[in-house]
Amino acid sequence: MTTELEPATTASTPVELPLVDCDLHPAVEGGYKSLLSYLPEAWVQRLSNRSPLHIDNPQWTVRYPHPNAQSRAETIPPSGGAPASDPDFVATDFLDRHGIHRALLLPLQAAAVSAWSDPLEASVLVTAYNRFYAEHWLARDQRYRLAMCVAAQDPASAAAEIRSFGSTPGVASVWVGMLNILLGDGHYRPILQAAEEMGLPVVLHSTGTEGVFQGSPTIAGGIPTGFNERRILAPQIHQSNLVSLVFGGVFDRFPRLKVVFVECGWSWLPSLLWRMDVSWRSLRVEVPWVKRLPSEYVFEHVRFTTQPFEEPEKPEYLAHICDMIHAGQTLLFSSDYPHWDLDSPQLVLSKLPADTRSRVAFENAREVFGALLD
Amino acid sequence: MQLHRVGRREDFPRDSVRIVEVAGREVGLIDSGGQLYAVLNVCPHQFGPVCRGTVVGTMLPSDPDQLLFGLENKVLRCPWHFWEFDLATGKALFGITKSRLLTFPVYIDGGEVRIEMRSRAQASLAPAG
Repeated sequence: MTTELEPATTASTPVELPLVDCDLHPAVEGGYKSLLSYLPEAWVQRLSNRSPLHIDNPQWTVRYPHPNAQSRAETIPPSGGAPASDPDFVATDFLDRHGIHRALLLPLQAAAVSAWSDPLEASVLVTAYNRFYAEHWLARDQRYRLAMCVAAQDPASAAAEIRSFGSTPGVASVWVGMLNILLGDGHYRPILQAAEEMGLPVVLHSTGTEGVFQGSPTIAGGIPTGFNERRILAPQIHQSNLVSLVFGGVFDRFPRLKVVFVECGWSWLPSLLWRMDVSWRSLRVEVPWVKRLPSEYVFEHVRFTTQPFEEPEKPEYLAHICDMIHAGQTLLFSSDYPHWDLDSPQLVLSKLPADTRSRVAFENAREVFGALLD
Repeated sequence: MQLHRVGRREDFPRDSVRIVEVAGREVGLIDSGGQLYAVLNVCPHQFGPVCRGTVVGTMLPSDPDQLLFGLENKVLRCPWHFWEFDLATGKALFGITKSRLLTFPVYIDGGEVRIEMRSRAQASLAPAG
């Protein structure tokens, strides 16, 4: 296992807690072409006859290319295939090794259909991915939970998929691929309504297609040159969506809705919370449906995952940031397995303030996902 | 407590704001619809001249995408940052802050307008927040 973090505690003081990992990326070897058996014959014909240049090519030809490798080499199953494509190997290589009790699966190939230009194709493909993961992962190991995917370009079909598939055992959330439309917009209303109705938290995570397609979210100010810039700046998109969710009145409209922001950082959160509150105090008249301090909505409805773990100049800054963001309530552990920049659970927990560790390890996740983790 | 004469009633026309100095402090005498209010001319936020703001109505808390206008002429909006306060009570509206304006009781007797103020030592602003 590799990590860039320096341990704050020694190996003689391990942190052992029940653990929920809120970001693990499984893959389908061969991409959507391996899922044709889940589709009607007409769709098999349509999708199997086309050129191979497509979004869920494992080489990610339509996202910023990683300068080294997106996934760790040792996550390739011994029998071959894409990293994290074998549920049994992921279980022994990662869950067993780190004592992870529950792992939320976020299938990137499925979520990336949010960048497809054809909403109908995207809607059909996510149904295949969802059913594949239910059959081959959820049924394989009781520790797995699935963030089912939807095609956000087509809100009606996305809502229908949430209602028809969302009660499948092991489904624990809905991953909404972000478009270049902010989450507070009425476009997403059927999706968010269905998620709330089914009791499923929404997860937001970049799909790698940001800034690549006209319909995918743009990073502010211009087009990043390469992977570094894109990786550093991608949280802008989450910040915009967080503000939009609150000021768009989403949590007033859907008071039971929870949203988990995954892999987008959290050290930026204090500044954004303060700016939201300051602005609302002065300009509430523009959004009178926002009835409380915006930060209160965030603390009640929104959660953030730990990876990539923040590494400030002085380690003691972490405690201050955790205090500012109410980490004992808002922060959830995530690993990002099998990717290159995954975090070690034990190391992350050891660097957090002691009074937040069990909260971040599992209690906060328990509050958000509730019985979906049972 | 002390009563301070600030003028005659006709000195404060209907729907007007006049700022007077009382015991070394600026106080806004604000007539709204024939009702006269006295407000210390200091906003608890950044100590701006709140009485030089506007007497307005505002948007009431509402459902998403709905606008509901109310409290017409009952709201004092500071010209700095537009914090809004209940003109009658001095309380900030709708929970934007726990701090409030300092208001003074107004008495009219024989056409004379007096306001009741604590001494400077007693008067203190609630902290901004």
